[in-house]
Amino acid sequence: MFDLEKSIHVWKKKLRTHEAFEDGMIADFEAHLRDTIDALKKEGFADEDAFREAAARMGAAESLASECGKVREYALDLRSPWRPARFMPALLGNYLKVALRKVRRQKGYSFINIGGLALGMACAMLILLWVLDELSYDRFHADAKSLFRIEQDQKGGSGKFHIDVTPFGMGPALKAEIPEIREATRYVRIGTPLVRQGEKIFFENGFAAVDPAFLRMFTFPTLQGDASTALAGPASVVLTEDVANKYFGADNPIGRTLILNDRYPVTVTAVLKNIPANSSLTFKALVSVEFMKKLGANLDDWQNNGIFTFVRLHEKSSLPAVKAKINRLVLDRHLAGLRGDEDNWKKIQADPQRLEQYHRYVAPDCLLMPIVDIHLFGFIGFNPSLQRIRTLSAFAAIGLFILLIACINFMNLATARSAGRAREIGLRKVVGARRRGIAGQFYGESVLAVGLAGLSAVALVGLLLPLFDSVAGKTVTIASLFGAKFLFGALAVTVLTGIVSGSYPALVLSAFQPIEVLKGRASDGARGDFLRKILVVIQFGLSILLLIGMAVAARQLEFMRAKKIGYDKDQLIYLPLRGETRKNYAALKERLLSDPKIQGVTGTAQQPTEIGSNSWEATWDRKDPDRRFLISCEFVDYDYPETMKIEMVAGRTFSREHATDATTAFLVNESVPKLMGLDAVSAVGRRFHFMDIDGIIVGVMKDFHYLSVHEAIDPLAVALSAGPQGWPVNYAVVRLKAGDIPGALAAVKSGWLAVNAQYPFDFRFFDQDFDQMFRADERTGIILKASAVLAIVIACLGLFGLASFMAEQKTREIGVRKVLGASAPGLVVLLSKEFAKWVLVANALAWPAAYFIMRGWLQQFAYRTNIAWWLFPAAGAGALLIAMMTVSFQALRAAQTDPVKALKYE
Amino acid sequence: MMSRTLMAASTRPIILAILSRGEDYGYNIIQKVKAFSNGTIDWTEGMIYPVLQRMEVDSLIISTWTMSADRRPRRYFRITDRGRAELSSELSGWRNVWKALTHFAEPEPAAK
Repeated sequence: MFDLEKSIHVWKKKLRTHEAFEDGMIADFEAHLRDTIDALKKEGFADEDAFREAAARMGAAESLASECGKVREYALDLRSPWRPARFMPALLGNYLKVALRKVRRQKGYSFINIGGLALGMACAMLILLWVLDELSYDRFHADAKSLFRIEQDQKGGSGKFHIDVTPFGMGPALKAEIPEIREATRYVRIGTPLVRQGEKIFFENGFAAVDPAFLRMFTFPTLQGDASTALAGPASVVLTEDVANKYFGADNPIGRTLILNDRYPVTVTAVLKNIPANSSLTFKALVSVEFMKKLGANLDDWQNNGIFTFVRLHEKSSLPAVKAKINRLVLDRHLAGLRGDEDNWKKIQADPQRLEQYHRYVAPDCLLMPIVDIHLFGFIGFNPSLQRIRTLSAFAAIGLFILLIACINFMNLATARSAGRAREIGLRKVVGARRRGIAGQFYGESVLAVGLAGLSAVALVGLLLPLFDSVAGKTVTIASLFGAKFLFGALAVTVLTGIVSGSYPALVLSAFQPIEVLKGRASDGARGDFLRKILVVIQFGLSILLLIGMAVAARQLEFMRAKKIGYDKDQLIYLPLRGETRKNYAALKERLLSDPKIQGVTGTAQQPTEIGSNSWEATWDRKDPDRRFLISCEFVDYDYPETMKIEMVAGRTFSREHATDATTAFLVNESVPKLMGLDAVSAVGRRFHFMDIDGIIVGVMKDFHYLSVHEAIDPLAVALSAGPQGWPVNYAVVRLKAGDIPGALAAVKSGWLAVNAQYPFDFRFFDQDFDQMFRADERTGIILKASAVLAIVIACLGLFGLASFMAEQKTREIGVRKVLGASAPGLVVLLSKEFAKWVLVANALAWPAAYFIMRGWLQQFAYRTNIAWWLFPAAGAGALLIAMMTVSFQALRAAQTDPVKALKYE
Repeated sequence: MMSRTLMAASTRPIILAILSRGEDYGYNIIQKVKAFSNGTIDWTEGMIYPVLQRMEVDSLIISTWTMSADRRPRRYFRITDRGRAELSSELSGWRNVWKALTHFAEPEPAAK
């Protein structure tokens, strides 16, 4: 039976659910409805039909509401009055209060959360500083973009050998003949001149000779003097601030004189600011390139590559076009050289094959290296050295890893805590909060916490900076923390971290249904649990990866250190001979050998730990004329293998008893006979033409490391410096008797002073050079170690928080189990099992990744250790152990709580 | 049928005109308009109440709830002075529109 009153009541109730209608309006509608129904009934409608018709004529609730809204729209944004404002400033204060209250009330949790994040961010920021510094090299020159260094690919049988040096003649020729080249300068280190100013005498190793254009091309600001004319004369010198202070103190250095090598006076014409640390050109003083003539250099030479050539191009020059022009010019010069020998030239021209071969092999391929790339990409050798850029990207990746681990912590803890906040969200929704507002609140909270962490991180970076500088070998100052790039980077890191780590709680929690929440049924459930598991797996995977990386790097370093270098480097020193002291080498040797504390003395032309000269020109009987081989060359004094204690494989060493040794004898290392297709014994006595010496191999030395241990041992041929083609002895190598090193050193010093009274005594241990070779690797090792430890610490902080949360959630379960007789160890196992599973999964993922990454890393070493299988389980077990210790601590605490308290909980 | 825009524009002046003859209530206003126009002006019935409410907020009319003879509460609306002023300005506006419309709708008189 239709009940009219009831129907009207229901109709009214439906209107009331709509926010648009107020009671007065609904009364209006009701009166109207009743009038209409009365009228319809008079027309003969039944109650039910009259009601339906009247309601239909009134219109649908929605359209009525929108009419009501229209007439009430006073607000500028046309917002209907029953809708909450998009922005409520009053709420911001509340959000902030709630966020700060959370930080205060949950001190431990906040500490873990914000502290862990701060640690991760500090690490990321330090690495950011380092990366920025590496990328800033040579960018301070105003014209950096149009500055290039000319480099060459030399072609030969064994591949392209890349060098970054050029002959003296190239720079002026390029400037004169190629219109795109605006300026060119040569840059050559002039060794270690003895510098005298009155009473002050020092060996200086930072003098370079350049063309006058140098100071126009590069931006090295002058403090005194005029840069444009400073290097005009051959006897001028430009000092940097420190060197000027060293020799002249507070006096004005301009116009004053320095004496180089006791022979050449030079006048100070300008003082430059000290060269910035991020310059790949590091000199202390500049002289004109003309000065090199005095030292015997031929400035028009096209034969020997030994100096740098820099050019500045006109803007908008096409690089390939310039490169082609340079190559044509270089080829022309080489051909012109050949044309000098007319007969030979005719022969070459007549034979297209030889001409082609000539083009292919003899003329090098010149390249333009942007000056801003020199620091990261510069290299010499057959293969581009990617070590710097690789290290840079590796550390950038490590920084990101650690930041990621810290972010994951943050997210994990935030989501884990979310259940505790469900009620707050429910209540906020009941009093009118919308999803967007709640998401905004969570994002805001997360950005606030990350902001706090960011501030702590910046403070931490400030504290750690000196340590960082000493480990990384940088001079990053506190001032760089306030550079625009770093601030922007830090801000970006902060906001990004805030958004990433706030996303999960913001998006999931804001979707909670208030009714469910207030009934106590809401949780992020299985989804959140699963996400947390994945995040823990990622976290531990990354930590294990870093652990394995650290172990492999340490083993590689150990491996290289322990590697036999082929000679006995202990008790071995070398003395650089400079200026006049070269002439006194023979006298020095004789004097030193007369002392019983000294076991042996020999001499070398190049620094004995770094024999860098090489040549393609070696020939021997039955050598394939189409193939060329790069062989390192060195000139030494008698007693070379004996003093260095290099083992002989075949033949004999240099001997004064063989008169021809001085002019024809070669000692080679084992790699040379291999190149010749012979064994060591049969190589002895063979003809060998090299370094303009038509000689004979008299002995074969066991391979030894004459360059960095990182590099493979290339073929080496050694001749006596006493011969007509020989280079002078520049280094005296002295073997001290073991036992009394200070006494032996004193003997060397007194011997030196007896012969070279006016020259300072200077020496180096081979060990020192050897240690230096490992500095970069040690740096890598230390940073890897620090980051692996940090990663583990941060990951464990997170795990600790997560475990305490889980224990809290299971308080009642633990209570019930205890009441029923569970033991504390049993409970610990119960709580830890779950985490152990995740860490094991992390292992499974991290192992193959670590294997491939570290295998790639080891490729850069010529001599490398293997990746031991046991490293993987060891790293995994280590991570598991640390994780279990963290979790067990919490689990134990939970297991020891009084079950009565646990059951009363809630 | 009238266009929606014309209907919307004319609602307030018509209500003012009806109330200028004396106080009245929503249902009756609608019935009067419907009867006079033979159903050509057909307002959605609920729509009038928000309009009346807005006019009251704008002080063009005032309302009082009165118990009617059949013991049902009704809200009666009365025009205010401000409402009368608004009505006369609306009237002259509508007359001008009407004048222009009819003038231009006629064919143009032939030039002499």
